[in-house]
Amino acid sequence: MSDELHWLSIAELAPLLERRELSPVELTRHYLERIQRLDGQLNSYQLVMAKAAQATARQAEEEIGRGGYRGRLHGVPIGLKDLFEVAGVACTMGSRILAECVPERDATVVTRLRDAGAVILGKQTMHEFAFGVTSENPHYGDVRNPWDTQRVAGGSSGGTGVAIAAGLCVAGLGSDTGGSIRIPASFCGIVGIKPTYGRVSRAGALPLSWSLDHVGPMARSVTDCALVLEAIAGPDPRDPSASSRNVPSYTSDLTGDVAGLRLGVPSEHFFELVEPGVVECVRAAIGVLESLGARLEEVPVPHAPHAQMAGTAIMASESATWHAEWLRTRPDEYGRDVLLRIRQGLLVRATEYLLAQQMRSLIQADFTAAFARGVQAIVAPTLPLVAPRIGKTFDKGGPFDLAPRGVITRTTVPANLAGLPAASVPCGFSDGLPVGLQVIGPAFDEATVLRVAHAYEQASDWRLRRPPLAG
Amino acid sequence: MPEWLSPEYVKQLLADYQLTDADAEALAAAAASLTRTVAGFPYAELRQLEPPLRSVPPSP
Repeated sequence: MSDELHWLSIAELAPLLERRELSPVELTRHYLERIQRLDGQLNSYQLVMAKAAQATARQAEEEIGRGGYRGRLHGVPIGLKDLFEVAGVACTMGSRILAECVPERDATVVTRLRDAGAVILGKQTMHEFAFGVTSENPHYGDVRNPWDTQRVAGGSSGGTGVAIAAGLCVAGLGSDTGGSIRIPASFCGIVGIKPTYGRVSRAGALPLSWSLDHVGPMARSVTDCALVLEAIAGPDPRDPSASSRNVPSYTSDLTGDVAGLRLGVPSEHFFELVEPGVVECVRAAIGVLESLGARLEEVPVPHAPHAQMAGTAIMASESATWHAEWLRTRPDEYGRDVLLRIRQGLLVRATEYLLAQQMRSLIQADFTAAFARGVQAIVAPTLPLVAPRIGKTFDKGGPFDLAPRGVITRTTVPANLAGLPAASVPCGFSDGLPVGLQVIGPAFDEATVLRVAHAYEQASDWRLRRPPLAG
Repeated sequence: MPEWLSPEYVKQLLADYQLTDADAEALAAAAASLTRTVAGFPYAELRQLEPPLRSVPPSP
């Protein structure tokens, strides 16, 4: 079994762990050995917490052995983007500035994973300060895509996407301000969901942009994302923006049935400037959903073209506020790209920031109108392109002669501005690289987003493909 | 480019931030681009918004 252990999902591992047919200690050791053997080529881990992970695994084994099974995450090895605070462990946020920053307490989501019995394998590499979409990192090295190590992983949760895709953890937590969960999910061929704003606490998750930051799960299957989301979602006194709404079961609707469901297909923006190979995969995936009985209809999202620049104005302003002191005193410790983006916030006028915040209402209204007319979810490309080459992301090229850095978030950031749940699920390959289907739902209806993504996942076999570097 | 966005003025404005000439030039260009794009926002629609500002989705 050990040759296949790293490809088992949480849903597959859980009964084995519960029945003591698999030891959490053995499982954790297997993952640690794989990380040791493969991660030198991928750079997905910032810090491997081997001793702590082994200790947690031993504790899980003992608890399960005496009948104290906590649930389906008990004994399951999980990774964390290196912006979630873990008590006593450096939290760098991919930066040199925070290299020595050691928090005293866990982020709320980390506490919840620990309470569920998960084994935390380590902190995963990311784009510096979460302000970028490639995870090319001047301080800790570029994160490499396991489908082609000359390609970017996507970002900013790049290490988490790579580790999951390469079988170096079962699942992980990322954050998403303009697409940072869905971008690496799409580029690496895994599943990721950015929940509704407020669905998951951000306490102890270092910020990029307060009004846009979201925390969410990444995994190799929709069911696993649902299981992790169930564990981490819910109200939190430490985060006033966390909703007090009850957390439903996200797994109970994963039946594969979408018959009669009304799905919206954006009539503008989301399919423009998208590589033809990506369009082909996404249209085919939408066709599969239709063949499963979903009813398709076009929906207008007329303000989506303004989303990227509104997002830029908001992210730059809010991040410049958080970074104000370091921008003055430690500018040499930033990477060039990130320094420019954050400094840009110093020059955004208050009126521009407020107009950008107002734009959110118009974009929210577009989606609200679509859902009000009966559409239950919207399907579109997660990204306009497949993973570009490392070191070439500022260079113009491709069928539209555009720089990847300039276009990557054009299809993801609308859901951040609207605060809506949005998932990416693998839907094929273009030029040998993964493509993602994006599913966007109404606020707090993660269940429908996951239901649609799961139905497509079960009707396709993309999830069974493994990257060449995954050993 | 609006006068206030000249590299020289950016350098003056952000005197505390150790900007090189190249930094100031890049920032001025980025800010001018943002200003141009925000100017393309649909003001008539924005003025009709009620409530005028909601930075996060409506509370459930």
